[in-house]
Amino acid sequence: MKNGFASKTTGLVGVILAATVVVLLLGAGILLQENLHKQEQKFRADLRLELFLRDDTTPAELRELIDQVKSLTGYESFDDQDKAEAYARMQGTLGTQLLPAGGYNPFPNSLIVSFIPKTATFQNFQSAENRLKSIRCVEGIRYPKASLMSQENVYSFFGKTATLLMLLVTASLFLVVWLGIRRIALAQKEESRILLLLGANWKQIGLPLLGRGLFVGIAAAVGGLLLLYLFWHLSSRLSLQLSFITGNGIAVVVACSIVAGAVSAVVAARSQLK
Amino acid sequence: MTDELLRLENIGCLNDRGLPLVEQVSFVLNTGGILWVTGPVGSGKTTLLEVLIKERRPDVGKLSFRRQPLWDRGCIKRSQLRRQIGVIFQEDYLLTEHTVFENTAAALQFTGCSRSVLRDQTYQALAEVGFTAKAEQGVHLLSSSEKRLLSLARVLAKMAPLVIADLNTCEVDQKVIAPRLETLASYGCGVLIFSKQRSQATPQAPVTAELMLR
Repeated sequence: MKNGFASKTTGLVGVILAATVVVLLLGAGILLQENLHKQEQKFRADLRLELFLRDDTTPAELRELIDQVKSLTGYESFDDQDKAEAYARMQGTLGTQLLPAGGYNPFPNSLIVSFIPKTATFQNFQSAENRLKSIRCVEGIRYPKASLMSQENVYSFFGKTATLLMLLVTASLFLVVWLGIRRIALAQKEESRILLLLGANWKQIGLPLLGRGLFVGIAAAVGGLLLLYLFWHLSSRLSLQLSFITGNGIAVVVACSIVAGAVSAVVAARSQLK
Repeated sequence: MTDELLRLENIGCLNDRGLPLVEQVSFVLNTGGILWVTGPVGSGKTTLLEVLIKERRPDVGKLSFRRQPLWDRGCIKRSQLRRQIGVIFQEDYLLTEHTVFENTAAALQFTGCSRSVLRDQTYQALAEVGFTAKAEQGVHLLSSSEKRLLSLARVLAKMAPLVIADLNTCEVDQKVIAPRLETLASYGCGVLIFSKQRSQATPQAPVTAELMLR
């Protein structure tokens, strides 16, 4: 009896450990994806569309331009900067020697437009540029085109790769838990068959297995998240500015783990009751 | 007064290739009745037992337990049926990682009886087969004859209205288990015994019938 108990307990501990490692990987994937997303949002929040205005822009033209700017997709706010301000700012940055002498101010009046971070995309900037460049009072438009395009490609590549890897890890989690629960179920298949012959119903056979599946799922989720917290804590000592996963991320990890345990147990129980 | 426990009408079962395993079996077993179903190896005794405990669906015929159909619409549930039957199988079907007591009590644990009744009936049944001292022993330590007696104890503890036994030709089955089962009829149980041949050691109980399978 002790041997049987030990074997079942070892099996259960084995499944929990294996599932914990996979949950840790899943949590790490979500953590990296969330931090990547945060970084991307931060980058987008700093993006501005600069509209340089002709010196002979009339107040009516300016009003019309502002109306057009306000109707842009994802528009958040604009900052009206006149040429004297631009000169003073540049003077503060470069000093007086590099600027033209004789009081000549080469800087134009400008409108600096901010967008809601998630709409600050290359596509949106480009369509804004196409729409505004034909307006007479607009002399030029500037935004970090090349850097925005390359950053978007990088974020898109890492985002897709991370999603694919997380899908694989989630599938692995289901597989690991299912194999473990199936092993436990097989170990007690003969016992279940005898109990069925003695009058047990599906609840009396299936519910204990479902309980084990849920236990595996919960234990793996708790263990995986604790390990993830530990590693995250250690990473902060290495000056990695990563934030821990959000409540939504934790909910995804816990749900995946519990669902994997429950589904595996139901499948294993069904095969036993056939 | 006798009540109908079990009724079989023209029960027939086919194997995977469509050949008959059991053909045209009909009988009625009442409370307090004993029926020996005998026949050589391969005559379909175990198949018929499987039909009776709803492990196998018959291909033809009608079957009822306490006038309730076993397979048709509104039939009795498998677990419900098995809780009302005490079965001794040809194989021991013991829970190998459990004690003698736990194995005996296993038959009772699904009947919904209280813990005290379960304990009392289990110890009483173990005493009847002389296993009181072995109650806490693991079943893996029992000899094959002792395992057969434990199967008997499981049936005795359950006190089910219907007892079915698929007996081997071994001495303990024929000389100990069969006579003991026949005495259960006097307590109102219906007793159905499957065996290669009728045991010579059994006393002639008052309500006994024999059905030979070929």
